[in-house]
Amino acid sequence: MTLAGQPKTSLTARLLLLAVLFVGYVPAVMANTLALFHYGDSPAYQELISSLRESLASNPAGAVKTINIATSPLSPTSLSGLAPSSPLYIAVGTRATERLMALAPDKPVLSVLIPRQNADEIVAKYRPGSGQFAAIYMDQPPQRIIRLLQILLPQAKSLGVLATPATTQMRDEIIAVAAAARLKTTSGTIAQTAQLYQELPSMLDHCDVLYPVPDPRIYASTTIEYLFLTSYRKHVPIIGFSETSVRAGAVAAVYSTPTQIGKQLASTIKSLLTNAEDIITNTYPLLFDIKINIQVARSLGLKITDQAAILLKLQSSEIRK
Amino acid sequence: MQIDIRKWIMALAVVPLTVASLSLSWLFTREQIEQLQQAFSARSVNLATHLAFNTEYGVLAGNQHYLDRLLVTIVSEPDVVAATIFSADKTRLLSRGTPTVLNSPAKLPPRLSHWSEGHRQYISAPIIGARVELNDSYLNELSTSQADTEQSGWVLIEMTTQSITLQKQQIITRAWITTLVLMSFTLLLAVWLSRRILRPVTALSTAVTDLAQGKLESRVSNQSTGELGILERGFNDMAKALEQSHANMQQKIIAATANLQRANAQLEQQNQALELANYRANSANEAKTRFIANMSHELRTPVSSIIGFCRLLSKTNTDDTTHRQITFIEQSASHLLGIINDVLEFASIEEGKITLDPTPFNLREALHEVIYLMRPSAHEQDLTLACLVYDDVPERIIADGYRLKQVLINLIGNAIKFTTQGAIDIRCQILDEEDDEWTLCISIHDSGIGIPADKISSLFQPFGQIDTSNTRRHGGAGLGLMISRDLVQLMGGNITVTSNAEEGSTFEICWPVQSAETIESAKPLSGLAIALYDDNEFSKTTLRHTLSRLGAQCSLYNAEATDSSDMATAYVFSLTRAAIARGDLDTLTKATRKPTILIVNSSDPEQLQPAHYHGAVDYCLPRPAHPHELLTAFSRLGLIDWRDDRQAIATPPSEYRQTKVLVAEDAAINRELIQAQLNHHGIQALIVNDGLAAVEAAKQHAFDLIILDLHMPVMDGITAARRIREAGHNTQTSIVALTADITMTKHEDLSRYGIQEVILKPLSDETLVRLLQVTDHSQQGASEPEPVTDTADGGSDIMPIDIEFLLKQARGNTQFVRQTLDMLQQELTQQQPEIAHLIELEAWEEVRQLVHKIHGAASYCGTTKLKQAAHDMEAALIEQRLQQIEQYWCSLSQCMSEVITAIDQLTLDSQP
Repeated sequence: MTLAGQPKTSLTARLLLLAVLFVGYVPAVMANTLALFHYGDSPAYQELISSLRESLASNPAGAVKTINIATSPLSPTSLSGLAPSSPLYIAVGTRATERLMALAPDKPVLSVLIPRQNADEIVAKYRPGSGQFAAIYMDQPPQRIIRLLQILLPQAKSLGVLATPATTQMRDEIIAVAAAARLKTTSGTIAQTAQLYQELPSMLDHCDVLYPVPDPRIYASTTIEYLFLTSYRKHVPIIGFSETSVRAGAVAAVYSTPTQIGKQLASTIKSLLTNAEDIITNTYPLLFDIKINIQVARSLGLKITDQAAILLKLQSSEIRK
Repeated sequence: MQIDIRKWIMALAVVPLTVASLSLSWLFTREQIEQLQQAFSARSVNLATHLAFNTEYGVLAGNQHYLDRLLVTIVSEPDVVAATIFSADKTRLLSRGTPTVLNSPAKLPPRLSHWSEGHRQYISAPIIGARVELNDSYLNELSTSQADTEQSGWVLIEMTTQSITLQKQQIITRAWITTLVLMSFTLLLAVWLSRRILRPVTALSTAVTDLAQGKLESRVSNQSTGELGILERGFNDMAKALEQSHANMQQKIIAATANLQRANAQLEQQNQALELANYRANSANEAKTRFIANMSHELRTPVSSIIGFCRLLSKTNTDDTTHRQITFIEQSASHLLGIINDVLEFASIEEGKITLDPTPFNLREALHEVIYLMRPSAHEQDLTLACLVYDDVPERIIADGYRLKQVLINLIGNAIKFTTQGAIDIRCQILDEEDDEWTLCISIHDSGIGIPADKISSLFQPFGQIDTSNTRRHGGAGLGLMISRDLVQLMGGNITVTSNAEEGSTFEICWPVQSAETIESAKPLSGLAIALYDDNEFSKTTLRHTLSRLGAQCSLYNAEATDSSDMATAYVFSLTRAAIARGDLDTLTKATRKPTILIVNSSDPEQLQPAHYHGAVDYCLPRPAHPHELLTAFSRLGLIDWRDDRQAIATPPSEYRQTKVLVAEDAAINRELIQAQLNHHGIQALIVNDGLAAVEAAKQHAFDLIILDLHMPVMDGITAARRIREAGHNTQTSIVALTADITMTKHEDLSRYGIQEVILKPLSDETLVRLLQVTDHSQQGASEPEPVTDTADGGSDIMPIDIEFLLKQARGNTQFVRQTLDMLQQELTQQQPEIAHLIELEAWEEVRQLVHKIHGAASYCGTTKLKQAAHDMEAALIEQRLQQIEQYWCSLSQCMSEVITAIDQLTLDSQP
């Protein structure tokens, strides 16, 4: 079900990636062990590392040394001693990324399992205008979200986007993609969770489907029930951002698992090991999956076909493009 | 406290059920109230929780309308009076109803809570809605995201508790009503039960009471069932059986009563017969008493006459044969008189008529008198009689000397009777001494036939002798020992016997005595050295003791050792006749050249003559010799200068020639005997036949001594004595009574009639001499047979104390006189206030006794005036002339004072 593909899946993505590529950065020959830093042992991290090791197992040059920052306090000196031969540091998660960016300002860092919002903020904080950093985001590209919406809910004419002040960029990109796909869009921004109670009902009155931008203020524990119950009462399906959001009440979501990102990371490393000239840029996950809540869809009266077929259709659409 | 059955039933029925009802009612009520309270609390909590849960959206969304609808819904619930919603900052958002808590309440805890104030209950709950956690890795990476607000605010519900209070009251009321209904029912049930049970029980109780009161026909109605029915039937059966039993018993009682009446009649007859028999027995006893009295008079009088005439005849010049026959007659008569005396004495003791008369007397003299009497009997069998009186024995004691001598005569007489050879030893000693109380013991040991141990206990049985052959041999009535024992016991002592057959016997009498004054004995043998010999050890001891007391220095004579004998002034040999017959005396006197006195077991005058021993001895005495006899012997031998006063007084008969004696005796023989006795002393007496003649004679003449027989025709001696005293003549004359009646020997019995002494017939010569001696002092005054002058007048010149009379009585012993007068003074000093006190108390008998004592003492102390005054007062007391007592007492008291003063002033040294 997972397909390996080039990150340059679309023109927009390629342009966006070029804007942030490492200009003039050519990684050295990866003859030594790569250092992978992570903070804590969350299941997502372990799944990614496992996937990475598995993917690199066939490549003798791709040895990866994992370092848990939570248990091995880092300093600039110790950091250099831990993996002196590693041409770049691989950071798993936001906290490891930020830590490495702070301790090794000159060392190239490849970050994975990091939201785009966080990656943008870390770069702006530690290496504004500098290269030596690239990330594979956790976020799905807006086109993929809109295509899923169109495959799943072809009758939907309008899309509501609920965002917070921190996710206005993402909101705008989605609105732009939706507009390009000829969908009416409406949006709302809430600074506080409580504002959801005021904004949501009115937004639901003006859209056929709602996409809440993934943000803790929107998907708060006090608001999730209200969010999904209210949309249910308004017969407005919600497109989620992850498998958990589908289980919570969203009708469907497209997402990338840590395994899929690990595979993509392994692929990137292999590429670097084989072609040192390759430029590593920030990129969305290439591999993805979808999840459909059949119960919600049935409650809303939606005729959802087979989930695998939808995934296949979605993957096919990206290949065509 | 008694509780009847009704109360028990009521208590048993009501109390447990009441307790159970109250307990259950309380438990159920409490349970219901708790459930009510819990339901109320649960409902209020549910309301608050539900409201809090549902208001979260409204609060977060600020949806007033939504919230208001919720509050209206809540307030419409029962008991909810108000509902309020507060924001997270405790600001009141919305209220419904009538809330009491408005703004910024203090009590809004973070958890569900409730409290009460007054009739309102408050329930607050935090507003927390449902939580859905995504736990998404993407959201986790957005670590800077804002945390959820935990709490959105509070809801507060106010509920009234009035309805629940009302429900509580209703529950309690229902419980009380139920309990009361149950208790009432229980009470009614108990009353019904108690009546049902008690009715037959009460009937039974009443029937039992009736039955107990004798209503045997009482029955109960048999209406009950079960146990009570059985009880009723049982009671009726029992009552019926009881009634029948009672009827049977009544019949038996009637029959028994009839039998008893018959038995009573028989008993009555027997009683009458017994009374008759008793009357006859008493009559017989009285007849016996009269017989004894007659016996004492009728038998003793002729026997006394026989003895008296024998004694007179023995003094006449008769040949030896006649003299010996007269002596036998006198001895037989004396023996017969002794038997008669024993019988009469026994009768007197049996009747309790014997009383003791303790008076001071000389113990040693009394013992010598007894020995003097018994000595001839002992000498008949050549028995050695010896008496040892220990030095610590007082000279004079206070006891009944007459009875003591009677006992001693009896015991010594018995010892002589039952001893054929050997000796009879008499010891007199003090056994115990405490203050003035002495226990005196006199033992009589003989070497006779002895008494078997098994016979000793029967010694003191009346009319008993160990061997009847002894009775025949020795005669006697067998009463002596029993009389002696009774007399000793009467004296407060006892008599003991220790004996072994063929080894002799020892009789010992011990009795408490009081010592009288001590008299220093004279020592007329001072300076004499006497060599003595006695063939009997005990006799030797007593002889040596006697001589030593008389002042002699004694040594034992040894015929072989002539040196020691030469130192002696005289020799005293004491031997049995058998020893003399053996030639012992010849042996002893072979070398004697000094005066020799022989003491021999003989009373025969012939054998007491020195010539009987062929001049071997100078003087003879019977053994044991009286101290006076010893002194006489030494005096006659010219060894000492000593005179026997007794002989001096008794010997010259012509001394009483002027004494006037009146004798009244009805028996001619006795008249002749007394006449002869008086003539022997040279006295011409006036002798009359009866008491009346004596009274007439006494009116005509003054006498020194009047002797009256008590039993005389026309007028008896007592009446005569009283008449003589009443006549006023012979007031100082001694009147003595003669009687053969042994029971009349107590002169105190007759003193009230003026009789000073009662003398048992026959009138012995010694007694006659003593009577004449007593009257001798008044001989001078009575020499003229003139009528006696009035005592009051005549007494004025009389000196308080007649010293000459006293000295004469004391044989010139001034020390004795001094002691006697001191005793008299002491007694008078003590008795004078005592009599005065008794007169005040009008204790006349006690006064009479004291006055009588003074009278007696005064008679022997030469205090004539005192004696007369005491006599007059005593007579007045006897005759109950109480109005004159005061006068007599003044006179007597004055005399007593005079005598006391005179004794103080008396100086005996100046007296001759």
